[in-house]
Amino acid sequence: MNTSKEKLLRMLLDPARSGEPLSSKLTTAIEDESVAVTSQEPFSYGLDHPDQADIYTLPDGISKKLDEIVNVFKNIGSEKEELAGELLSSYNHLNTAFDATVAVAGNKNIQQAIQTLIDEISRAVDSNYCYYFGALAEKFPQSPDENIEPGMVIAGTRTPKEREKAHKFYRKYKTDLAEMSTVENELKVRMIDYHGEPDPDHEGRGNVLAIPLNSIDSEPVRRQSQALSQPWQLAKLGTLIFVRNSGKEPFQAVEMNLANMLARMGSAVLGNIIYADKIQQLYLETITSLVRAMEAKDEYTSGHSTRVADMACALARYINLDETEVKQLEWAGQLHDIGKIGIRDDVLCKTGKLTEEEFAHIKTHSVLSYKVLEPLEGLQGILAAVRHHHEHYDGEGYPDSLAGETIPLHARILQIADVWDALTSTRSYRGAMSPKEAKEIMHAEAGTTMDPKLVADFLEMLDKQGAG
Amino acid sequence: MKILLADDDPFIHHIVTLWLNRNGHEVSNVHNGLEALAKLKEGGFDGLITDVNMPLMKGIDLVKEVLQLPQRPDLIVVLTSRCDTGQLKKELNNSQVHLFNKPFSPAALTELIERLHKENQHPHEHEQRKTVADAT
Repeated sequence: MNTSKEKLLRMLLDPARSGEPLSSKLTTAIEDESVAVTSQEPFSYGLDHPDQADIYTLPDGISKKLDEIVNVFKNIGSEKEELAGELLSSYNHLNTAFDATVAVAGNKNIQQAIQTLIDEISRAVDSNYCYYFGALAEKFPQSPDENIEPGMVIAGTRTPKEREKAHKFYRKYKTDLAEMSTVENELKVRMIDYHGEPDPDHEGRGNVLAIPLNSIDSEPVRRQSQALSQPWQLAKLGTLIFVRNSGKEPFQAVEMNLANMLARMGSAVLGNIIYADKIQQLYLETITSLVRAMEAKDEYTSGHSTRVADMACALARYINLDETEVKQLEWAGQLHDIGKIGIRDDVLCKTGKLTEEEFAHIKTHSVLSYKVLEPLEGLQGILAAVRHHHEHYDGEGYPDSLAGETIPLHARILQIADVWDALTSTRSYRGAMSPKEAKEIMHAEAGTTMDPKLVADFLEMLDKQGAG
Repeated sequence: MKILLADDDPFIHHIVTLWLNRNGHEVSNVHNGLEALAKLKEGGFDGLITDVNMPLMKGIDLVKEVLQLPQRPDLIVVLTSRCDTGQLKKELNNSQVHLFNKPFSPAALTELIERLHKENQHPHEHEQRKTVADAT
């Protein structure tokens, strides 16, 4: 009678297998399905004459030990499988973290950043749809029917059918979702139930994860910003709510942690983009304010600055400077006379000829403009043009008596525009000249006050444009 | 898919085989580049996944040989724990060879296999599906 344990022991004691390690013999024994070991079986063993087996009973203790060994081996096998499974799962999470971080951090504008963030978190937590609550709702590229409420947007769906379901879910559980959107600093997970009513869609049950998007959230910053009236929220950029529908398991801790990590990183990215925009805007607002200060001082100066700015830009484009330089000239034009704020009224608005002292005083406006603008880091590029817009090509100008090509190009351009406008507009001390007269004077002054080459370009440009 | 996995690390074998089996693929294991080349020459393999640092024949050399074979597999993946993947890409210089870092992304591997599978079966259809997905 060949029983299973017999086979096992036969294998263990087989001289032909004596070189094999015990583990391999046991593995073979296990793979042979007939080896199911219990401790009650009588045991028989035959070596040389298998058909004339001698029957021995294996002592119970050893039989039990054999059982244990075989079972341990089976368990090791399945433990190995489980461990490998866990590891694979962790590999997936790790790679999601790597790839998603790179994807989100690489965005330069708000729409893309938010969309990527939502896509990546959706994938990481395997959600069906996502809702965004907050001030950035208007930044989403959505059709009107998707933006069903102000300050709320449906995102993270891949098909029209999913979008429809998302609508339905929102309408049904509006209050719960709105309440979850108020989460401040921590993530919140809930199971939203269909409140005891039968749900024909079976969509009623949803695992819901709410994630706040916060950028800077430090006390000192908030206190400081409260002193000024801030048009934008410094701390909360909104809330993302991810929903995983019924039939799927609840959100796991590792999924929440992934989502949290991505959201915090994404908030920083969003914050950076917003603040970069705001800094730009702040500059523009500051400059507008300065220009208005100038207007308040002297009505003539303000219109003049705009016209000079326009002419300088036109000339710059005509001689093929790139758009960055054109933009710089625009600012230079608008602000080159800001220093006139420091010039006495009696001199600035004098109708008669200026005395030497008065002329010297008015000449200080170039340096004054320079000093007014110098603290603004973003305007460093226009300081040279502003300071030197009254230098003369022949070196007889002010404030630094620069000559020829040592006068910065932008200053030379600005000067031409400045002179043109001065000639063709009414001043406190004389009327406006006709374009023809002005052109003649420009031509005459080329080489002394102004750069001759640039004057030639300028006059050529005017002729081509038929201006005057 | 029938996939040949070449790596001298038994742990990698265990984990990659487990993953591929779970996704319905059959896996054969070898432990160096020479063995791998020999097996591939016999034919019948749809895919090759190989480590870089192996005895007898390195993964890069293996791949270079494999690319010359008439019966070369559709899927060729190199797994590496080295960080200079840019350098490796240059050495391989072939868009049909895919490079994966260790720890590899199980999801990305599955996705790659599925994508190749679709492309082979219905090349035109695959392109169409791409645009529909883009539109939604």
